[in-house]
Amino acid sequence: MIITSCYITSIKNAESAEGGRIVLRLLSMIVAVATPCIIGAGESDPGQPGQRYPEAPEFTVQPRKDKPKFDDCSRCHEEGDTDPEPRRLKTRHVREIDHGGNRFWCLTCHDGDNIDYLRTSSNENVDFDESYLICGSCHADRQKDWYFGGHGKRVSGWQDERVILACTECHDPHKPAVKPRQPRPQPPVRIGLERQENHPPATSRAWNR
Amino acid sequence: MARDKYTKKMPDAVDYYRRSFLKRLGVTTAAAVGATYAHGAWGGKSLADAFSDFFQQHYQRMTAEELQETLSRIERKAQQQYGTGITCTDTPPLEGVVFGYAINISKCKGYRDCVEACAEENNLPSDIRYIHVLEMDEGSMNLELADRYYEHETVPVEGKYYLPVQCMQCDNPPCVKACPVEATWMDSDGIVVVDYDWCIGCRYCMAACPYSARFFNWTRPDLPADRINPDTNYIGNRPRPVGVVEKCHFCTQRTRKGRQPACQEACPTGARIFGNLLDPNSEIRYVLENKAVFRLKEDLGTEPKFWYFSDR
Ligand code: HEC
Ligand code: HEC
Ligand code: HEC
Ligand code: HEC
Repeated sequence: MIITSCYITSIKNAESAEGGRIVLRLLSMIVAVATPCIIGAGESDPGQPGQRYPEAPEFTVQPRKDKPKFDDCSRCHEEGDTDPEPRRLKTRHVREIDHGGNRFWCLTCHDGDNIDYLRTSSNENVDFDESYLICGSCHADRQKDWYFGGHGKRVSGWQDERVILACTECHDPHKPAVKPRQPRPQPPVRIGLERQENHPPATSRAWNR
Repeated sequence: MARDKYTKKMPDAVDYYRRSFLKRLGVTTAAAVGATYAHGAWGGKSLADAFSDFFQQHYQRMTAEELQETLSRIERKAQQQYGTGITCTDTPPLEGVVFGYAINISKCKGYRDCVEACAEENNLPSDIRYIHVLEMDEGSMNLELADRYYEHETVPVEGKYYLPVQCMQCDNPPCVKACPVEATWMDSDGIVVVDYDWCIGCRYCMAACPYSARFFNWTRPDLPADRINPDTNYIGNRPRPVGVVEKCHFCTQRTRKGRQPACQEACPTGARIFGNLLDPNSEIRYVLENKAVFRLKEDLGTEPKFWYFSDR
């Protein structure tokens, strides 16, 4: 637990620190050291990244695996042929990652030994429909909010069974930033009114605005 | 009547004066009408309907039969005015429920999807929007400098944040106190509703509302038949007469049947969190208990059931 929280802190530090690379080296070392201790941890061990919250209101995640892009990765990927060498890929599928400042490689999240699965930092195998467990290993706060309804979105009625969206419904894991978008049209000006000058100088008197 | 369950007592005096005034007026008008117009003078609706409109009781005082008759009259009128069939139902508040809303301002990106969805759901006239998304300078809470008419290629714009405002469903609503005829009140689920047929259009409530969340409708929505949302309720989104005050009612036509409000459903970011404040397991309760929430103009003591919070 201590090790994993220090893992997260190092990521945060890596963000701001000049010597991000060094921190990263450290980071991978920590992960390497940490992994064996974490494997044994129970699935719902409180305080564990990627954890589950049994006390959260029950929910189901709107499934994503039925989308064609998840069709059978093993059609092309055979067992044991995963190339663990971080590099720029030439495939037609995901080529690069714009997440966490170029510090991840595919196998940070994907399971090299079984390409149809993801893998958390604590070495748990998870299904594509459980990707929130992956995200939670680094974004524990957001993940907790999501479990309890403070992040993400409920797509069922407020009284019905709770169905919520997967993280990846809104964030492409390979490029998670939410892209800017065109807004809907301006609201109409009320009949009889005129649109006021935007942002009058803060110094102007209220009656001059 | 079962309806008494949630009926708030209304002073008889108010009712008495309003009704006796209207009755006298009605008698005079009826005489004039009888003399001048044979039929069709009421924009096509039958004289009987026109009279029933005129003498309609306050929503909270109608008997079940009167209410039923009123609902079907509203449906008939909509058919005649918009050329489309609608259903208008009565949706009393649910027991053990008080609604609350919270908006995550670090997730709202100013898309205005909620504004549009609300307009469609509630059949709004073209110059009224119940929701306004305010564009604010980062680090400022000065509502007077907010821009509701922002127009950009893409949002969010750097250095700005977005603050959606709508009726706050105050628990201590100044608008309700201002209404001289009790045409607006707070139901047991905390939603401040309007009996549009009882409203006399004086607009005192608009002056009393510190959030500019009430709107006087100068026009009837000029919606083509296929754009009308036919799923309506009396106290919410049904066709309103012109010249009355309307506002956000947390989509009573949906939420009192367990659905989410249209704005929540439309928001792609998940910034809007709606639910039952009395349910300790609800998402809204999680937010209120675990986030640094605030309300607008809290010092006025209006006790809005509408919160804002930010992740950072
Ligand atoms: C059409 C064939 C094809 C399919 C289907 C496919 N991949 Fe790949 N994938 C490739 C090729 C080819 C490479 C190697 C590209 C290179 O080396 O530049 C690759 C590389 C990868 C890598 C990098 C590691 C490595 O072994 O090189 C990962 C991770 C990966 N794919 C994941 C997936 C996942 C997950 C799926 C299923 C959702 C999937 N792939 C489906 C063709 C495919
Ligand atoms: C931050 C963790 C993470 C990293 C790093 C990552 N992936 Fe993924 N990947 C995911 C998750 C989670 C999904 C499931 C996405 C969903 O639900 O849509 C996924 C889905 C996929 C898919 C199938 C769906 C799609 O979006 O096309 C492919 C192919 C894929 N990843 C390939 C790669 C490759 C190749 C790399 C390295 C260049 C990589 N991923 C790096 C987390 C990651
Ligand atoms: C191995 C750790 C790790 C994993 C796993 C991970 N992330 Fe991240 N993520 C990061 C780091 C580091 C950043 C950069 C933080 C920053 O810029 O402040 C980041 C940034 C983000 C951002 C902000 C992007 C931006 O630029 O605004 C989002 C959104 C995000 N991640 C979503 C996800 C989702 C969804 C998943 C699961 C599919 C996930 N992350 C899995 C480490 C991780
Ligand atoms: C309904 C859509 C939606 C879902 C589902 C969702 N997010 Fe987000 N998330 C957002 C939006 C919108 C933002 C704000 C983006 C910005 O500020 O640019 C955001 C921001 C973030 C950020 C960066 C800013 C922050 O608050 O730290 C992280 C990390 C993140 N989300 C992780 C997750 C994780 C992990 C999950 C799943 C457990 C998830 N999100 C599910 C919409 C979503």
